[in-house]
Amino acid sequence: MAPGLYDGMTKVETPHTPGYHLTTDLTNQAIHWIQSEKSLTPDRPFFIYFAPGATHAPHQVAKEWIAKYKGQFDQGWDKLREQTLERQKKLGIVPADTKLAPKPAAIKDWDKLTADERTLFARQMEVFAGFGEQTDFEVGRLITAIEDLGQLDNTLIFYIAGDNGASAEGGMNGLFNEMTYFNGVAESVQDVLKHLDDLGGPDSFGHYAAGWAVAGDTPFMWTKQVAGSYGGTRNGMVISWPKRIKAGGGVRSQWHHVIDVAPTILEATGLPEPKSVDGTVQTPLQGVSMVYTFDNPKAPDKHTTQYFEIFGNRGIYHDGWLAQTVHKAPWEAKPRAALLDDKWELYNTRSDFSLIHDLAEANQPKLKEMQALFMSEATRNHVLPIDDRGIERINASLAGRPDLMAGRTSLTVFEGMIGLSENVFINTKNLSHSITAELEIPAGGANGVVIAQAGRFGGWSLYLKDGKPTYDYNYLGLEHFKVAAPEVLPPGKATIRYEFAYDGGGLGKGGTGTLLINGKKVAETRIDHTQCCAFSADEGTDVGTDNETNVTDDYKDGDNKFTGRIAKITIQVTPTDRASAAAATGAVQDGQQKKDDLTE
Amino acid sequence: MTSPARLTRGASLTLLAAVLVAAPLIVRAQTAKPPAKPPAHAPAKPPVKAPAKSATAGSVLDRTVLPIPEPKVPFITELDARKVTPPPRFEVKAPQGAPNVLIVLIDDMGFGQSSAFGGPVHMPTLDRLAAGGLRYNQFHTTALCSPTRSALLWGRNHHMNNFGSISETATAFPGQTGVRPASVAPLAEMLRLNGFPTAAFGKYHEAAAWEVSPSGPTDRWPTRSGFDKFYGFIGGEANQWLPASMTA
Repeated sequence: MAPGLYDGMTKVETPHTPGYHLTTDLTNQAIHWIQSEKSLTPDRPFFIYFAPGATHAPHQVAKEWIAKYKGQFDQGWDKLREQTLERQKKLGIVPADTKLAPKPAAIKDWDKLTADERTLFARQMEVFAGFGEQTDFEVGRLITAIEDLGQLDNTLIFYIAGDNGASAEGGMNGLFNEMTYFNGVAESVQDVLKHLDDLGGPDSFGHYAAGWAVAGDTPFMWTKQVAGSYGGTRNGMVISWPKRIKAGGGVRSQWHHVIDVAPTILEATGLPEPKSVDGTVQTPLQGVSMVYTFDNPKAPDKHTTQYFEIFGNRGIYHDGWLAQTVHKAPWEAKPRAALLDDKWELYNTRSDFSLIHDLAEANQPKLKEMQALFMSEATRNHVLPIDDRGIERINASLAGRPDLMAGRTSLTVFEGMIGLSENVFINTKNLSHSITAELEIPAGGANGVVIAQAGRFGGWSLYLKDGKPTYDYNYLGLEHFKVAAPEVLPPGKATIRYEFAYDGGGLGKGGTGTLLINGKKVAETRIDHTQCCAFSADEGTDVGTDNETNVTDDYKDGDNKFTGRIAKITIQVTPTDRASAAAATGAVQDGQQKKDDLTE
Repeated sequence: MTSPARLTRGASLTLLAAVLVAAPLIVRAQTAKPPAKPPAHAPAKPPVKAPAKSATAGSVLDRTVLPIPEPKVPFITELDARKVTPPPRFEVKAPQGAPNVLIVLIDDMGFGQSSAFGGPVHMPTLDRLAAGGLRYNQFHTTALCSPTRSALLWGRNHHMNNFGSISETATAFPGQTGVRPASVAPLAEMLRLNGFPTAAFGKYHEAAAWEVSPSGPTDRWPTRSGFDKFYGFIGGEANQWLPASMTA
């Protein structure tokens, strides 16, 4: 069994049951909690935050949900944008005269794609749509449970369809295994097509192509990360509170922001904003309550000024005007310009819902006024200074944040240490290193995992297979490099050691992997390349087991615990010498180049 | 032979009998001398119809300092409990009539994706809630996961929460450290200290990546950030088939 999730501060085992899906598990847990709470203390109102990982990547859902959308996206993203806009007009979600914003230049026209690309991309969107519908189905079970308890009438529900715009982080072609992106390795359309039916299943860790994200943000131009544009920040939101909101079915167009939810809840529950909490004087809440909109669709806006900033993308809204600049698109490796030289746009949002008439040239005084307002809002909200460094911010010491492993070249771990993320585990990437495990082998021999980092979508594992020490380097799920001892490890104490001699000369290069038993070399292999930047977005390092997905098919997930004893394991990395440091400088550029390559 | 277990049970029964005998006397003493003033913890008037009044004026409790300070209790000089009335029990309750609150937050879904907003993804639950509630078509987030979650859960702009981006790209600058300041109490903590049971399910992504290890510090983990109950993953994304629990 895999201890995956947390219950409180305790890791809990995730059932390896057929058909398990996280969102279903989360829903069951929430329903059980509500039922218990209302059973025992029906007079106490609850507060629940239900935030499934869905529909963030990896896009994963059972085949029957995907099948519901078969063929529904063959028309492509350009046509989907038009269809969506028509439906939005019919629903009264956008003004009747709204026009589609242009696509970003990097997004290809659907009809210029190859047949293979169209086949693959359409399937990606089928997976996403199925994933989205299943998520809503699970939310529906939660709502029904509240209704069955007689509680729906006096439950204030915020259903927020998105914590940001649709994600373009899948790049131009989307991804079968998201970890390839984090390591700057491009997947070819042809390679992924071979696994088309696996998309959305347990062997995939996928994301759709950026064209679908742009279509997903219709009628706007941009996507997640582009903080000045409504493509990045406008999200559908529904408020339900039958006891209080009588004019059901309406649309509200007052301008609001996610910071307005907390004041709304305080007003609705009859609570004052606290001045002090847990002994600390509080920074005042910055939003405004939305309760005033419940009865009056025409009530004048109360949230009139709001700054935006993410990764140097920035904007300022004030009284119907929006000034914004795109500093860097999600698929671009570098900023488009220095911060001072960014090109700003200006929109009158009251007459231009989809932001297509840039008034920056025509109304320079207004733009200057808005830019000045951005600077004052940015100053008083700790937005400044803006730090648009890219790859440097991935590195803790360059970025200037804590790193548990800072300055350490050696880490000793013990049995029972599991799920250690790359943020709290020693970094072996792009370095020569060794793993030394002191074991006790029982009579009859031992099997199972000694130590493993990450899993099916990239990682490595040191384990005993048929009693023989083995090391497998899983390169992004694409290639395995294995080195195994020829002999079974006999009962008694043993030291097994894996040594990796890194080629150097940049990031993600290869090296030689050597296996030693009690100090004696027993096997050696060539590892052609390694992962430069990340092993996993969710799985960590485990001692004595390989939790969640398995690194290698030499053992199964959920059934790979080490059957001997582990006294301790020491991971030692070779400190970077001057020559390597020079190489590392090149390596950063190399990494950037890889990202550039990926985005083209 | 009487077993030790039976002896113990016998002893508790005797104690219980004594309490039962005494109980009516205590009740009588209470009814004989009702408290002159309403108890200090008297719940507020229903907030739903008159929220502005109920927030402060209708409540005896001062809820602007949390936790709400307990009243000072007198030292009792009487020996016999039958002759005295206990002070009112101090208990924090949510304002009377306060609604349950549920926030559902979908991840990475665009404005034009759900059927309720014209999109191709059929979402009947959202459609149903919209039909009985209100659809907002000018609601905004911050354009990224953790920053939006911090603004939603804590009620301040993301940089004021030190979540200008995700903690995995945090820096040393104010606004970007990835560590929630103590002056930014989560909404869940405010509600919990006002008598709401609180729970979070799913993705958190509001604790700094380097603080999520067995060594902590756990101060900013969900159950120490206002949630009585948490079930989910603390990082940014999870395998839906075999979820892991760490940060990305």
